[in-house]
Amino acid sequence: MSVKDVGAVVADDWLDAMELDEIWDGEMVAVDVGGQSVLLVNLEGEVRAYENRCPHQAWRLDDGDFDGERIVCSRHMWEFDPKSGAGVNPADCSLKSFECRVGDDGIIRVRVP
Amino acid sequence: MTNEHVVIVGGGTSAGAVVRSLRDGGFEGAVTLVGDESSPPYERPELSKSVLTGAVAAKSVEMRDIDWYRTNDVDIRLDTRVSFVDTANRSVALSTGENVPYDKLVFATGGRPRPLPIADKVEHTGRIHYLRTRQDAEALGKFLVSGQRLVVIGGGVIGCEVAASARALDVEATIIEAGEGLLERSFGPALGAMLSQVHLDNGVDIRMRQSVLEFAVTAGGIQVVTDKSTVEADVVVIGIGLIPNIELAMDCGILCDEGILANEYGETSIRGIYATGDAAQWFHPLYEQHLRFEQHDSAIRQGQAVAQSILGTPTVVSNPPWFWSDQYEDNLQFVGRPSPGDEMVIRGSVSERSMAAFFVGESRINAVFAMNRGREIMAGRRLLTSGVPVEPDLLKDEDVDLRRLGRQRESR
Repeated sequence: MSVKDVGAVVADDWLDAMELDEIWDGEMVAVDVGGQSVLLVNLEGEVRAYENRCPHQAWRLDDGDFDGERIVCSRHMWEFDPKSGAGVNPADCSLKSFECRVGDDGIIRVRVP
Repeated sequence: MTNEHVVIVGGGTSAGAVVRSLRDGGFEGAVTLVGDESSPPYERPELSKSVLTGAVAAKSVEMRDIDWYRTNDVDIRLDTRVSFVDTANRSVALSTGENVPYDKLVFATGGRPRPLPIADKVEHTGRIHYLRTRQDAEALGKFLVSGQRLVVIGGGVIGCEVAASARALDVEATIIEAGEGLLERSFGPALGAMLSQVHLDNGVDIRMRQSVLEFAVTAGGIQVVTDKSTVEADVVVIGIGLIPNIELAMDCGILCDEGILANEYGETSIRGIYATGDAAQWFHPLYEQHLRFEQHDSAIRQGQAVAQSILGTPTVVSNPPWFWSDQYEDNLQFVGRPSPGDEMVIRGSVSERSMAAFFVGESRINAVFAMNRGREIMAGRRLLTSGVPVEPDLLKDEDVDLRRLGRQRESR
């Protein structure tokens, strides 16, 4: 399915983030999308997009670590589930996620507010 | 098993972690938490930082809102102490006069600031402060107003964080430290000297190798007299250590050393009784000895593990100790335990406030310190835990991605 198939009504909301080729499987990268710093995470070809700031003290998450199982903020070691963005330690928090799609053209597109 | 009654003695961070993990883990039995403070369990790290500066409200540090305990059927007794534990009949006596039976008991009794007895005679002025609780932070915060004069006794983590928070509010700050440098107990002499410079650069008057002899009340405040000088203060903070609250456990006949002894799952020398947090001294599988930590991370991890033990799915806590401190704009972190004779390998630059120091012995990383380099802490922790040999030259080389270094070696 291509991005265009999503529907003309919302098509304008989707912004190009980067090419899928540029982010290796099991890695995370921060990109600027529409003035917003977005953290892209490649989970075996599936891409997730989160706001690039830790809910604890707003530190940038791309400064942290992604070991394939957890996203860890470098500042105070808060841990998040890369699939859902849910806090693991502590559990009472969550990353803010953005809708994210990979088009047939290999471009990752994100919908930021 | 699910009908068991768990009683937690203490209402701090580790107690909060036990309760939270029990209910999140589906524990269906009764849970009673007895805490001597007025707040439900909260996290302490911000008390010396953003709570003290007023950047965040004290309430924001609560782990869960008081309503959560009610909704989750946790009997939470605040402003209440456990005065006696009857292990033969399995019940605790509360300061309210009530007796509460238990099946499983958790000591999460924490610690109290080590007092400085010579300060007692001026305590009535309200200008002598210790910092442990939310109430302490709120009381101290009222004094931290531009132009006021703060004197900190003790150059440890708490003292340095308080001084940094005070400087951010344009409060004059003096640290009196008996030793050779600030933060030496936590980071060692070399890093202590470096961090002392950071405080000097931020305008802190540091009086090293001085011991406080006397406090005197003056017209405008307190005069602090050391063996080498005198300092005038509007407010004094004493941060000279923590005394673990182990007396109640000792009275029960539970084996104690520096802290309440527990195995790697948190169980004490009496079956069904656990210890966690600042007062606990767990067997640490990585170091093969019982160690006590006064750290947020271990308070949380141990609390979670105690809950797992009670849930019947015991898990070992084997993480190397880790803590952080935020002072001025700098984030400091430390993971592991250095061994005597370790070589210190520096990566990055002290002058640029971006560096890591690896403590290496026999080609293995024993500990990592980082200033604004959380990545190195994470990579270092992985190398430390896996125990793979490392080349000091690679650690120094900024072109080497330590995260990948650790991973490659692991996967092969």
